[in-house]
Amino acid sequence: MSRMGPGAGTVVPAAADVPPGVPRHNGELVFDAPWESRAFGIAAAYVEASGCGWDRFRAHLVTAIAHLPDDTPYYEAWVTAIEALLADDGLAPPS
Amino acid sequence: MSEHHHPSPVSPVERRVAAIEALLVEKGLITSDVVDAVIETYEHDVGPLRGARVVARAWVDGDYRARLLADGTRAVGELGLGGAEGEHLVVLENSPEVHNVVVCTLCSCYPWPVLGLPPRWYKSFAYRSRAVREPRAVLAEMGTTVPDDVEVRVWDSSAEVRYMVLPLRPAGTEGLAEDELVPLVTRDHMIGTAR
Repeated sequence: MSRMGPGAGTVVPAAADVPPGVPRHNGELVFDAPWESRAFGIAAAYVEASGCGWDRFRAHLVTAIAHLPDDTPYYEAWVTAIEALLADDGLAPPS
Repeated sequence: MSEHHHPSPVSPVERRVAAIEALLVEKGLITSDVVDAVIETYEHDVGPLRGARVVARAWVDGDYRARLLADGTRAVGELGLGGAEGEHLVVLENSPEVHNVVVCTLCSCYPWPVLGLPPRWYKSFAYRSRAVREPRAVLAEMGTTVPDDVEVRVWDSSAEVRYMVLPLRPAGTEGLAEDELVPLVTRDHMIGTAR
């Protein structure tokens, strides 16, 4: 596992030099590649538009993570989950 | 021969994502503009600063703290926060005797409205598989040593519940105002991988 954060055991030094007001001030870029953010945005847009809620998607994500090799990039499992959700809904993307 | 620039080849997963988007757009179910807007929001607006505001409020306002611990979703709603993955938010209070740590062993459940999207280590097999089994070792690797006389409680997120940790207010901050406390709270404090 990579080492995270400032590594401090107390609160104060951790963010003392961070400018306030920046939303991601103690976050990090959440996507490693454009296709990852695309996959996230597509799923969110579809969940919203279809009104199906995240639970069905999450069930597919859990299955995908469990079945794919442990070193599979996280968002690849996410893509597999979208495909499975769409298949449920009778929408099969061309492979 | 063509002088055209050839970008790097499209990977299989990129192809799959493009195919999904094309299909849903063609069916009129989503638009690429909406996808763009979602990405923009989660890359720039929704992040742990929101949770930090919640924590700072709880540190200065005992009544708010009580409401937050009683019903997290409702209390963050008072600050205008809510939405996907925040429907059943449970806030776990650290104390001198107890340190709370959050994980999602099955996937990546995480309270988006207060913390944004999870960092990559939170989604990693290593964290998901080890956080429950050997939390103190995992925390130590991340730079946080929890004293032996402090109990570590690990909370596994589920489809029903999202957790956020209310960290201890640091000593020496008694004179600070709410706004001054906000930048002292990090994402990792609210996951529990920092104390």
